[in-house]
Amino acid sequence: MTDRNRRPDATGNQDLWDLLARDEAPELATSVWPAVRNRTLARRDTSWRPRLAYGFSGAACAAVGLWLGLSLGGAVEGPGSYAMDTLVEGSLLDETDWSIAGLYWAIESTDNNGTRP
Amino acid sequence: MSDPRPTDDELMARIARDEESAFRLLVDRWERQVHAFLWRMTGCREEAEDLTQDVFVQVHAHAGHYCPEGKFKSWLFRIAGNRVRSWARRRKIIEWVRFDGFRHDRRDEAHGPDAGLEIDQTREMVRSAIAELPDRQREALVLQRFHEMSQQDIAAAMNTTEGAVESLLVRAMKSLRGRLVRPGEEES
Repeated sequence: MTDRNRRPDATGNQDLWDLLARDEAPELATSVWPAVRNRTLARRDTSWRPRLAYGFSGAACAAVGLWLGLSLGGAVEGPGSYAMDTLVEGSLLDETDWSIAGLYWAIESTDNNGTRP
Repeated sequence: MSDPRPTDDELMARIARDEESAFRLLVDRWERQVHAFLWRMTGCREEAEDLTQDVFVQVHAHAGHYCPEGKFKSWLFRIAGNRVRSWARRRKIIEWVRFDGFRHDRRDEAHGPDAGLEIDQTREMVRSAIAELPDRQREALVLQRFHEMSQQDIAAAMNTTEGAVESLLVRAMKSLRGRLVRPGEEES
């Protein structure tokens, strides 16, 4: 038994305390533990596992991007380097004579007024 | 041999180390009190049960930040108080839930038609009077009256001063006395 029914009445009205003492809260129908356990485990799942997955995905994307970038720049072999080689060699643009070399020639052979000699 | 009844602070330290058994023990120890507090604040058993879950989820989430100073109860009821205030804001409730919610909750209880009719009436009268208190007064009163917390602990739970708590309690009691005490029992 708690002491709440015997606590001195600060307001000078013991009847009031007695009235309040009759008001009892309903008991929990069932423990909240199963739900709390599920929610905390779910929280754990949503806290580190997806973050880890996102981290791996981000790292993979960054690696692929770096590889493409380096290969495009010619630092490593890869699809970028093949594409650049193709472009520089003009194989893709030969049919229209628009290789990079052709572009440089066009720029160098244009005078300051923008007209070709 | 380990202590058969670890303190709340010890349990919190173990929860911070992710010991599920400690968390379960803590929930078993406090869930009824938290639920009773939230029921008195919301007036709805189901809402109180949902909020009780929320409170313990918060306890678990913040276990690593808990300072073991022997004030676990105040810390726990601060979380519960914050949670119920947040719930009230979300529900856009300006005033706390009124008498009907309480009566609805109690209707399904196993009282015979004649059993304790006067007691039921008294309970409803008390609940109605408590429900009509301003929220801060009600929170202070519920913590003091139904959870046997000292004014110091209530102040910690409500993030205020002991003087403010005393003021809230005096005003709450004055208001309750005006509502509950029959005319013949009033002080002269």
